[in-house]
Amino acid sequence: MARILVEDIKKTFGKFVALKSVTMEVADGEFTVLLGPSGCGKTTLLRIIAGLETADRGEVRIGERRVDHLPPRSRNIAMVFQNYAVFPHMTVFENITFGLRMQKRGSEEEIRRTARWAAELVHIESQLDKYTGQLSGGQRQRVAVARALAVRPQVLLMDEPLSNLDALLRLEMRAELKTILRECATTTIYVTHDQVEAMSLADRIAIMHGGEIEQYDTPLEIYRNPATLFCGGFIGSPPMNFLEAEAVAPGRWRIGDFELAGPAEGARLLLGIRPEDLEPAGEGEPALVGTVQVVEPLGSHLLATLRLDGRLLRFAGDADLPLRPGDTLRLRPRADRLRWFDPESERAVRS
Amino acid sequence: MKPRRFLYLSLALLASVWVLVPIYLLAISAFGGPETINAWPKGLLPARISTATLAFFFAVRGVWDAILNSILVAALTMAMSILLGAPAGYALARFVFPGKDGYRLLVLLTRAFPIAILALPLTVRFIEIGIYDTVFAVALVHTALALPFAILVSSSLFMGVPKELEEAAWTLGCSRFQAFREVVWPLARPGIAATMIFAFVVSWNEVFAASVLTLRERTLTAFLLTSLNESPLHFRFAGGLFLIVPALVFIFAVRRYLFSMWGIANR
Repeated sequence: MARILVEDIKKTFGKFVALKSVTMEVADGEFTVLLGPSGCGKTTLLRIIAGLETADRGEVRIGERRVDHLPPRSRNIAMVFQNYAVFPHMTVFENITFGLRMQKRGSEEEIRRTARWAAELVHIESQLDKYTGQLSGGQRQRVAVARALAVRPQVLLMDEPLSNLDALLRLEMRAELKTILRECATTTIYVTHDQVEAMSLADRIAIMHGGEIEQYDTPLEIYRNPATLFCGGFIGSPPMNFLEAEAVAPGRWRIGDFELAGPAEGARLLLGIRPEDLEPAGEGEPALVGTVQVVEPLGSHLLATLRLDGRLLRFAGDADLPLRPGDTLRLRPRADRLRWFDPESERAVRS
Repeated sequence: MKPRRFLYLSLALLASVWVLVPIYLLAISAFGGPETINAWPKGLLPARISTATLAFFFAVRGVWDAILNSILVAALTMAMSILLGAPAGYALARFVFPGKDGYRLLVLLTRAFPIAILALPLTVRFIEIGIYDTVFAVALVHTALALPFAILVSSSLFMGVPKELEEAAWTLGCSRFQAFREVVWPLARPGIAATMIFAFVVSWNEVFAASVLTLRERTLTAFLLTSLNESPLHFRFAGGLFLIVPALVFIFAVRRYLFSMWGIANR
């Protein structure tokens, strides 16, 4: 158990800048997810913390100890890889005890007990004598998790551990991982490109884009108050709507014919609004008026794509709404869910 | 039968006959006793099985020394090829360094020179530094022949071991060396064994360099080559058989790995 401190980490591969200057702190026992599209530097950051890559500059601390000059084996970490990386020439038992044996931790009996504990945690205690080649992908990843937990690391690093599993298994493993990791209360950094995985697992999410952390906050806070246009567009399915707004008076903004209150500063801003934060407006009320293009009934709710002065707008509403393509729909954004962004800096503007 | 299949089978048959008939002739001459050698037509099987020829062969003075030398040279070649080739292969498989592709090509280029071009200047140099006519000198040249294979094959073997396995071992408390010993080596070992045997066979069969570089410390091939003119026919047959049998057995034992070495998937 330890906190992780990453300070001013920079990493380049030839001319490609993978990490510009990353600083973050993960609290003791916290579950942090690094989320971003491929090539955003999230795996590189994880590998630098693990000691598998060397940063060009910057510091990594685990607990109070500076570790960036140490080899992986001296960092008190364990890692779970995307392609499992279980040792094919060893049995499940030998895989799980590998770390303990290499670090000569404890007697034969203690090692056996730890292995059993780890195997039971991930429900593979009946497979201990099998070779990993005889196991399915899901079981192999369980072995990899047990192997990592068996060394009782201060920090657990996971690199897209579920992305090689099929969809159903992924869902099951996700819920199970959450239970297991809560039980162990190990400080964990988890890399993924799947926003649902990130939202469901994380205490805090760090959204990475172009080698930088754009926002580092709780899942709900990121969802409600994205710090940048990218965060709003990346989190949420469908993503946040962005509408161009013009200032008509200080604090008054206009989108098409619709007027609303907003920040006092600025001449042009983008209004960010989530599809589910739009409501049908009554006759005579001021509203955003659009033509329905596509209607997607998803069971739990209904998703409509509207055309509004040449822009597209997504609206998530009640599943029973009688909408058809070609209908005119009047929508009103919920006043407490309006978010404003500066189109130049792409950052959020507080209203 | 379709014409293509017929063609394929005929070619396969031709290739087999091409290889097998000389071996067969060698075998019946070596086991048939001295008198069957000049018999014509030859029977499908020798009239009687006799070890007289082989006994005669092994009784000739110098044969045992030559066999011992051959084994020593081949063993040295095998050891040096792996000790030099496996680390080079590992470097090619795991690290990015300037001139990597050039290095790979360079390794292969050593095989572009005929052995004569290698052997003659080396003879002069070996006399100068005083290792001429030693088992070690022959093994050095044979290592030069076997090393390109050892490097390229072991590099593809190490590439076949996923890097994540090594990284997982590092994070679990292994040093680089321990990770190699515990994870990479056990997985690459069968292929490395095949590479070693291949180096052994290369050395065992090589005759030119061995003849040029030795006078008294002959390997079996060199010994047979120099004594061919003055020895009876059945001696030559026995010697020939004894030369090819170990090579055949070894190649047969590791054929699976030779396939994968040359990129033919048979799994």
